[in-house]
Amino acid sequence: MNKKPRFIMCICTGQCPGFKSLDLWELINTVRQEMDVEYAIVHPQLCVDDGDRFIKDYIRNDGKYIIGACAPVMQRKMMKDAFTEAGGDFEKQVVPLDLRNLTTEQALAKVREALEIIK
Amino acid sequence: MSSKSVPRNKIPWYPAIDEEKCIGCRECFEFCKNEVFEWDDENNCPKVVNPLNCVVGCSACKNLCSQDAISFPKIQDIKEIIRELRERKDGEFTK
Repeated sequence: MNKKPRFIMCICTGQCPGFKSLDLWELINTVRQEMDVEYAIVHPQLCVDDGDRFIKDYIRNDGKYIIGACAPVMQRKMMKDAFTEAGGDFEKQVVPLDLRNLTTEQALAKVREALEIIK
Repeated sequence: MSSKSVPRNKIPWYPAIDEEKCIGCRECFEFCKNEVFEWDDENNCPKVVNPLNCVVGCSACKNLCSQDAISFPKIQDIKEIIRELRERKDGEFTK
């Protein structure tokens, strides 16, 4: 079974100024093409109801996830229950990254670091 | 929620702070990178100074608040307002 982690970029509706210095498509294409991930996807807003439904539908209890979004404390608070309901464990399966107010290069560096951690 | 075709100042989406409930933990202030809040040192609570900086549909600060001291309008109401504004042909905001 493929043990490569999956990368999810949550971009907070695409209108959050926190991500304005980040080129989303440069980030997601670099991650999926150049990094050792199963794949990389974008979600508009994981912290609201349709994000909840996505997680419950999507999460495998043996998968590893790097989630680029806002503050880890927020990611944990908003996604922990959905992971549990899907039979997973946020703490064990996720490396949450705060990619706000970063350039694309800075964000990519954080993803690379996370890949080392999640191995 | 897509609202780009509607001027932000027409959308009443921003947090309201209940100073009675607020315990001054600063979680909301430290989380929001969009300068919606300023910290009111005198009252030791956040003050909404740039309401229109708030991302329509984002209520992260409310979700982080352990005291339920932050509230937002109902999201359904906001969706309705955006839909109506988008449909209004004469478009008061297009003048």
